[in-house]
Amino acid sequence: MSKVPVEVAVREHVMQRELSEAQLQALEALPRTPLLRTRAPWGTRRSRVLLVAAAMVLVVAGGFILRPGEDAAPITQQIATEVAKNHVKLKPLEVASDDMADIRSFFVELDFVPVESAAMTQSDFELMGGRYCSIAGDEAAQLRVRQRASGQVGSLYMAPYDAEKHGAIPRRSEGEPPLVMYARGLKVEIWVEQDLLMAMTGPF
Amino acid sequence: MALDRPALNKLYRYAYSLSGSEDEAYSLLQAGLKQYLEAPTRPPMTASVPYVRQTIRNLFIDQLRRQRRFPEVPVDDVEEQLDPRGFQSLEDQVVAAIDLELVWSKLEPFEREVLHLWAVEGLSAKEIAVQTGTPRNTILSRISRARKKLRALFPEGDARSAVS
Repeated sequence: MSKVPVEVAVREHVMQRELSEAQLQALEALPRTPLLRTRAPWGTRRSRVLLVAAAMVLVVAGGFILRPGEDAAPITQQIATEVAKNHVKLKPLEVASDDMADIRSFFVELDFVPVESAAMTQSDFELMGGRYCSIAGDEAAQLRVRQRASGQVGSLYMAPYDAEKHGAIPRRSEGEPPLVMYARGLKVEIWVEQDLLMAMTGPF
Repeated sequence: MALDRPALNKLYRYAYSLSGSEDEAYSLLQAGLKQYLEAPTRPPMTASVPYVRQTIRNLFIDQLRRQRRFPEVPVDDVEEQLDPRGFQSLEDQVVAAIDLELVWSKLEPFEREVLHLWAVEGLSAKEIAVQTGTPRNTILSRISRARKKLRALFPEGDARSAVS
């Protein structure tokens, strides 16, 4: 009986597994929810576009009237400011746990699954818990973390990443360093990881 | 369909490596795909496979916890787990296909996962740590435990004594 390296044996063993034609057809037939479905009935795509356009006009007009001459900050600065503001308030946690599985079980109302960011493992943070919040109008998870060495507490935010809305944000998987911004006296790092927008802040 | 057939098979094989069972793998894939397709905001198509793979992983972990099957590492084994060589420590190990079939179900889910991500996806221990959000030392200990199990079951599985 011939023997091969473990790597080859594992690959051959796994690659033999294949979905049957019936299974493939069943998966291909799974219903897909139209994108941009929200809890509020927005109706047709055309009416949603008109609604967003009307909202944008109001926002631009309102900004001009209230703060004439002041340019709108880029979205990343807005995110940094919002994240820093929320962190400083240190609102009570809605779930207290150092276990990511517990955290994921709690955040059932989100449209994404919180993930264990490599930033936590690589920077020696421990998880304390989390709460619902928002970033730039999107529902987000705010995780409270503690740096083991210093004991200092920080916040890690996660929300779905939207390239059109958020613009180009460095991707961790491609080895790109995070965006570094400052708001309310705090350093805020922003990056994309596992297709989630992430923002980390704290007195580190 | 956002994910084509090769992508579906890729995800199915990942789910198989995690669960160790083809039936369970199909259930996980179906559930993960449903969650992805029902999400009102979805990642771009180029990121669909990693997204669904992570969803499958999370579903599997939730399942293990609900069934109280989450694998525990014996405390007194912790010191012996780490081999900094990582996957290189497996390079001298040879095994017959039929033997791997026997040992596959004896490995823990996350030991199978690291072997899958290494052998099938071609990832290094560091890349696996980043992708799964797991400390690198934990990845190394899983590799060590998998190697120990292979050696315990097939003590002659050494490249120096390979039989052709």
